[in-house]
Amino acid sequence: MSCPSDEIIGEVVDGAADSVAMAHVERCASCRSRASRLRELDLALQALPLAGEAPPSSLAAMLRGLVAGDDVRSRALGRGLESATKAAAARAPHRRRHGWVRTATGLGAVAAVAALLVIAPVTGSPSLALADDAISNHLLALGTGDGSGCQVESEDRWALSAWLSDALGHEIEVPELAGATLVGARRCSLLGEETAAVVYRSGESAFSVYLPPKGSVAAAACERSTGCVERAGQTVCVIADPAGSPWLMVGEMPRLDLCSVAASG
Amino acid sequence: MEPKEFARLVEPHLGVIHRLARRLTRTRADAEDLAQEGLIRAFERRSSLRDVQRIRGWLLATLRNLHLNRLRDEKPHLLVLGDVGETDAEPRGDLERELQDGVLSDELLLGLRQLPEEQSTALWLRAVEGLSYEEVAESMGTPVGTVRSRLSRARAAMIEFLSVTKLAAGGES
Repeated sequence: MSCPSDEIIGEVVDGAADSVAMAHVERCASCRSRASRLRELDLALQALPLAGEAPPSSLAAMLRGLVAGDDVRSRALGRGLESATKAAAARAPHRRRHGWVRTATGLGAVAAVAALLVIAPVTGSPSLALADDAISNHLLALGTGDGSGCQVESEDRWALSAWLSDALGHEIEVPELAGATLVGARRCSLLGEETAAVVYRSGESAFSVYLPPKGSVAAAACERSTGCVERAGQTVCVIADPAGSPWLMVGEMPRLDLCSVAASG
Repeated sequence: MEPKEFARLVEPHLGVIHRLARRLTRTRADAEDLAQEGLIRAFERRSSLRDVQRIRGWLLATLRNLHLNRLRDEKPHLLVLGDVGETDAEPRGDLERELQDGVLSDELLLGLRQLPEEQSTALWLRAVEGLSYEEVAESMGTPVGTVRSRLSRARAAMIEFLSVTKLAAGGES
């Protein structure tokens, strides 16, 4: 028997192949290696935190409610209606347009060094998956629509906090960064989960600050790594926030400048 | 089927329902909504369950169909992710070790998200939840042969994605 297709190797891994294929993989070093790689992939997937996640107690409560004849449908639909209303509000935000103000702020070298002392890398750079995802999102947002990267534009951090909190359904406080000016905000996706993104400008550069919700996959990824990484001309920094979840900053700025701005918050 | 009997049969599968809802949606709140609405729909249609031995696949099919119907009804409002850059580099050799060491969780999640939904769901249900090919087929409303090919494509795409990602990592400081 010649070496089987990837599909058959997969069936061997799943214990669903016929005896001929099983015997071949036993004998063939190359096929054993292919199967081993698939097994490792499966094991890695099984080790993901989500793979062991227990259902929330509300799901069992819903089941009990169904058995008891409670009006669980109207409760669930009510919650769905609330979500839909929020989503509609998020899709049609009040837009206040303004032009880019291209004034250089000129960050001082002393401030930059001082900032680095505060937020220098501690445990290693953000993972490349996290960094690439954030960069993709940042670049795509800036290249979409009016180029601001925002769904709603405002320099008022409380207005943006309220909009994001409403759009994402949990409390969000937009950070105030003395070294940058607010441009607006958008909702986006980081590692597959919905995340708030706030856009600032500093000099001629625009950068995004991602505020992953506590307990989210992106927040956990940020917590695993504090520091900066440079990719595709962009700098990505994870900023620890002792009072809440870490942030992720992305911009086409030197690491020192981005850190200085972060430290001004 | 009596409501109590329905609850008894469904309860052991709340975990897999929850996790599939989390995989299909982007927030915990959306996942909770989807799982609860899926349970209600399954309860209302419990008379259509022909074989209680196949309840897991039937529940998951109910959940997934509900999700797909919701997607059809609403326009996407999330910004879609794109590639930062292309690379034609060949896989690096230590991927297997990194998989064993469990250091690729972010990459795994991102890789799963980049697969077509029908591939990532098939892979999740088989590799993580341990469903048989037949159960995956039932959950997804497709023939078993389609499940086999989706699984094969999903695994190949994941291996390639992870290999390229790790190669790129090798070029970074």
